[in-house]
Amino acid sequence: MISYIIRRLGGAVIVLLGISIITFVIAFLVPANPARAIVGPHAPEALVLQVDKQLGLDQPLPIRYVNYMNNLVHGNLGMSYVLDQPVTNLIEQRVGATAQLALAAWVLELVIGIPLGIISAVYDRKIIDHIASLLALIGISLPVFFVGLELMYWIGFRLNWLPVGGTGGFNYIILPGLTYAITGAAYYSRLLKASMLDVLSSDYIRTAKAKGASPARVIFAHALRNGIIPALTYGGIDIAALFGGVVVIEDVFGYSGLGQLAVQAISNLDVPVIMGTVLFATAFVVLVNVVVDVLYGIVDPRITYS
Amino acid sequence: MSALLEVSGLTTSFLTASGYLPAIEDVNFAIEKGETLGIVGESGCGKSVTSLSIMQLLSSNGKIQKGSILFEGKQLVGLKDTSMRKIRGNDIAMIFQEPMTSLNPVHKIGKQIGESLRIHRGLNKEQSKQKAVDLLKLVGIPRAEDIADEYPHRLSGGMRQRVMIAIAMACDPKLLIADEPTTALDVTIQAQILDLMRKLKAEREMSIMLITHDLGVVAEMCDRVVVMYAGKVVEQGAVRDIFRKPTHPYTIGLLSSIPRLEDRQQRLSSIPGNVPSIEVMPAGCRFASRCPHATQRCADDEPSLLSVTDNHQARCWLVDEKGVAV
Repeated sequence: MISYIIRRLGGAVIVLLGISIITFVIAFLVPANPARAIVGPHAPEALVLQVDKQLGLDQPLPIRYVNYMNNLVHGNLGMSYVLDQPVTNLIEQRVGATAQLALAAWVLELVIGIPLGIISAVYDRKIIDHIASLLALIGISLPVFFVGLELMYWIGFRLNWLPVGGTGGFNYIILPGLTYAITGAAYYSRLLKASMLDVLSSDYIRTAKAKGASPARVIFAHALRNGIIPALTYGGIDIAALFGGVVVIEDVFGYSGLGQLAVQAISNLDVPVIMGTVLFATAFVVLVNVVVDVLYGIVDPRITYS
Repeated sequence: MSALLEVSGLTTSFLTASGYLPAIEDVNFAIEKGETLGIVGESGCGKSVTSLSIMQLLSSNGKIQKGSILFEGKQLVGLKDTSMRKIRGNDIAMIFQEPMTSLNPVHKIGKQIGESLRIHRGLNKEQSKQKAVDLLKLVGIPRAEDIADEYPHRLSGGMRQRVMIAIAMACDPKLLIADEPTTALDVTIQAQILDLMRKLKAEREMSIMLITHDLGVVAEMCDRVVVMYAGKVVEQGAVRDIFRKPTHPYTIGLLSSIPRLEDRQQRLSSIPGNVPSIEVMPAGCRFASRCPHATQRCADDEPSLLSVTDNHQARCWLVDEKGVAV
């Protein structure tokens, strides 16, 4: 188990290296000069060249990459071109807000999706299942920004229950979290329904019933732990997708997190910030996947690591 | 003394594209205390439906339409699920054909054996665990303490069937329903499992309802036997009578398809044709199309269970006409 985790983390370093090269190359291959973006379109060419030199942009790309990685190994992600702050500071300031939002979104997804999936499986093809299916279909079909704006309008503006946007305490997380959860919960409920239906018709469920187990015991003690495995896989993918989703949601709700930072960095060609946020997100996603793989072994004893 | 289990007029139907169709019809039999009853027939003749009807574990598209199931004089048909749950795993336990898939892969063996004790006897975790180890010893599993802490995938098929028997024995049931318990196992393991069941039956004075398609198993294990064909009982009686004097042509066909060492025949004898499907049941005798002795009467009219002797009945017109001659 320990050696498995170490090997997976070794693999993660290789993934990070690959992502860093790709992001670095793409960021500098766009047909726009970061120096020109900083000094503005009407500044004299001499100034652009001076800024180029200042930022080290006059050196060949491979050397710049090696320098960047050298700094990275020493925990230095460079200075933002635009915000005049170390990238590590920028990420540090925002990571908490995004983590809170992502966690809230994920928990809400599970809270909505898992019971819906169980109910759909237990009441398969009954009216309650049809209602759940319809809700799921609606949830999957709606675009995130639309759900976000509707929630903002009805709950934030008309009912005035929650703030329409901005960053602050717990109240500011609910609407953006719910926005993501409404569109994402359906995947969990569909997945769980399919796997629970499968499990509920299996021989060992019949054995449990033959022991005199109550329906609740059959579902929660016997079926759910077997049925949850596909949802667990999706959970890993979903957390990765959350980072993408959060970018849009942060933008819609004016929530100042990593997503907003990344979006601004891209429009400003602020390469160190782009690199920093992308690498941070990648490291997180890779880590989550290792955690999910380890969780498999805990949920399903048949899976062993060697 | 009344029988432990008395099934009469039992008809169980399944919802198909053409409405509810009976999978078993008018099934009657009884199991006395301490008796082993064999239920025999080929695949699809309603053996498992009969046992699942007794347990009331039919799939959602199946239902008992008529008849009564009396267990210790108590009517099980129409019993509320909460009351039925008190009987399942407690008074009536069941083991299944597929030991490989009948255990929950994510729970430890000890927990699975102890579960019915926690449900029916209110035992706590430690007590039920200790009892599970005792039960594992009872069914002849070595290193019982270690095995109780293992997951099912570490055990062989024979071991898993022993575990299933341990689960069934947990609450000292009065009736054990064994649905083809040895079909999926090697021949040597089969003999061991049958020996174990026989031993437990003698020790615990329980009754066994043994479902099988193997007449060899019946000869070895049972006191009486019910032969089913296409959802109906076609012959029943004491094992000795049925083996000595099989009366229904289907029973005769089953018996003659057992290979014998002393015979030097080239081909195994078999019954031609298949069990009719529940969607196209013939009007007369259900076996008529495969029967070597079928007459026009058989095709038109279905015989009822006719007495061959006091404790031996067969559903065949031949009994009526010629006594036991075939």
